[in-house]
Amino acid sequence: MNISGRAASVGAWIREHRGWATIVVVAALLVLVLVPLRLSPYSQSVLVDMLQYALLALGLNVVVGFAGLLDLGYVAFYAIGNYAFAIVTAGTFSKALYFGAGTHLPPVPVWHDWMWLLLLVGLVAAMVAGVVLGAPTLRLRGDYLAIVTLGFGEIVRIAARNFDSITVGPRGITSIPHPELHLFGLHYSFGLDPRPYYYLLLVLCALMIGVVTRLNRSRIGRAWVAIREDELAAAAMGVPTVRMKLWAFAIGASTAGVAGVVNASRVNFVSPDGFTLLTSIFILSMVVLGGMGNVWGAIVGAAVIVVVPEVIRSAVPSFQQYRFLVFGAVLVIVMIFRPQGLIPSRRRAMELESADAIL
Amino acid sequence: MRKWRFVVVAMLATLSIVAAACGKSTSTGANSKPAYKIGFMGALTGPNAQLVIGSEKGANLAIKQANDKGDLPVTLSLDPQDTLGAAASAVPLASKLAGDSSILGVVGPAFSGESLAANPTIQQASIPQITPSATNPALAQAGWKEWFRAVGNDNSQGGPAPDVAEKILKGAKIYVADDNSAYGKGLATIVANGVNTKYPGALVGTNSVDPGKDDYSDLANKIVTSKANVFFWGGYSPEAAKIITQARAKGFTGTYLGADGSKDTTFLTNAGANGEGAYFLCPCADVGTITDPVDTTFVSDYKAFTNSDPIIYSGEGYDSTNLIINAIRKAGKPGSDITTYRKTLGTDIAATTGFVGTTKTYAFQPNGELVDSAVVIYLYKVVGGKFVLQGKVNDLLAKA
Repeated sequence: MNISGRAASVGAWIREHRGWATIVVVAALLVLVLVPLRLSPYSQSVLVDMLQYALLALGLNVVVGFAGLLDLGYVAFYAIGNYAFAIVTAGTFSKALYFGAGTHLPPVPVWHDWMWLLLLVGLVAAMVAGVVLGAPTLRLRGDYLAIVTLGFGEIVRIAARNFDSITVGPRGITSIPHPELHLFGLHYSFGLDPRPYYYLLLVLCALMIGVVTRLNRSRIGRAWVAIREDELAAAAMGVPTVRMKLWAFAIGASTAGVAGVVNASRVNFVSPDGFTLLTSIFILSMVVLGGMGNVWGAIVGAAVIVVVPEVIRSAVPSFQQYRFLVFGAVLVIVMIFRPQGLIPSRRRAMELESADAIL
Repeated sequence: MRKWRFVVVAMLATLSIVAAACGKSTSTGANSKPAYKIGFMGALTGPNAQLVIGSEKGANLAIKQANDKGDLPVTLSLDPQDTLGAAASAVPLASKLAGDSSILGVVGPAFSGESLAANPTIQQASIPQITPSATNPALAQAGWKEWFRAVGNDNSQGGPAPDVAEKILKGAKIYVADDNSAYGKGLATIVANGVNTKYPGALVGTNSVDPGKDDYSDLANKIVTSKANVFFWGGYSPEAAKIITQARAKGFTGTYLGADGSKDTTFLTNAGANGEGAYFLCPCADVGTITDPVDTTFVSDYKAFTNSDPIIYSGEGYDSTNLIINAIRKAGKPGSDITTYRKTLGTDIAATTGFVGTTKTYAFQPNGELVDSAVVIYLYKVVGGKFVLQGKVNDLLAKA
């Protein structure tokens, strides 16, 4: 049985057994919600890392997997989310805007009450950056787009390094507060405990999955497929290619911005060294390994890439120096035997198979 | 056919994991003492691992000696965690150590950025921690109660640099450059400000360059045209070697002055003849070159244990671990309340006076920094392709 057949049969099974499918979904949700309570703080922390990367991979999957735009500077939007949160909450911004002695902009408000608004700040900042970068560059294609995005990633990092007055340069911004929740008399502080971040990210990932799967089946999603397969033909058929690509870019960027806000509030420390090209490549390899164009693939990719090195580290401590070697080998093996990724998009898998058949 | 390939790969993968697991030696012999661990955090792999491996080996040696001596209430082992030197990857590892009730202390994290990110978690669990090499002054201002630093910070390294340049190297004109890193920029700023206040007019230029490049001819040109006779570099060794080589090619005849970040063997091998006569300020004691009885036994023990000479921060890692071990020895067997026990260790370490380590005699300020009298900065010079200790900077300045 080939992959597309298997995927189709899963869909058919769900349609035929709605009751069972609901039970399976509820059980899976329960497991996701309850599992971290039974784990050690370290495993919880790794899970949080995994979900954070899964969110990033979901966003990049829209750009790379759905619209077929190779973005090598994705980490820039993540950095912008991080810095947006850090600058606003740690007060470096108001410090930078001193007007002479004593007078400056209104003092930093009590951000703790605004924490939830700040998720939006990160989202909007990254989205604006995505549109600003995308508008002129999305007229480029393939390799050229990859090079421009690569450059953008570096520009953001180097700007953060040198914009001392606002980003504190290479020393990074410290003393970023943890999120706090104040809702109808309910007060909760996130603190250092990884669990609240886990649930926050779980909700964000679920939201993202919902949005992305719906988008993918919409007119926009079909436009993305058309652009990915043949941009000229798509344009000829009346697809507004630049606008659709811009959509993909903006959605990907804003997801990274949200992930950045969560990261900054969790780690309490942001410095330019965290946003190197390597991080972009890491996220890209999650998307490719999991299966480009498939939402679940991106999540599985993130899980494999974050969790496997940690499992090696914990299972065989004396082996920990070699974990990246094993990790590299795993990547190569997967790419040899499953070039379409672990959970490929059905359409992409068919393309690869038919290409095989033609050859 | 496809299926078979899968099965083969899966079997190979399983085999290799099993083999690796078997290779792990279980060295816990018959021993009635309870087993506890000391954590170690730092970049054990990656480009900056050379700055960390020494202190990890030192820590291992200290633990082995303490176990062999047999006067400890517990059996200790080292739990090394490779952070890659990155803040993001240090955080989960910090919760790993913090959540482990058999961890009595932590040596590290080795760098400043990862310390800022990881320490709140470790401190929340009241684990006493001593960093052998994170030198950013900001760390002492965070108010961590069980945190200590076993070396001088960037202020103490950079502080004497202007005097050294003017008096010992007889440099009337100083050019200061840095690599824009948290470490390098902080250091270069301290040096540049120091020159400006102490020797107005002596600073002929400053510059920040990005690390990781191959071509630094722009900076090299600026150094040469500024007619500087001392070039101070705040940064790490790979760039230092490239810059001095390219500056020499353009006709720079002055002296190179660096700090601990560029004082490792990478500089010697990459700069070659161009590195001859270079000077380094370092809070690190090159154990082996200082003639001190404690020190000579450490060097021979270290050589016997690791089959290699002590490198940068080997001594500091050894001392940091011994400070924790010493506190454990005083506090006795841990009770059921591990947090209280850890706090006792922290109080013990804070009260340390006159603890003679291989690199210095330890005593701490309330914020975790070494007391001023314990901070010793050494001056090294490259002679014949080796770092040769010139002496303690304060002594040399008094003579000059």
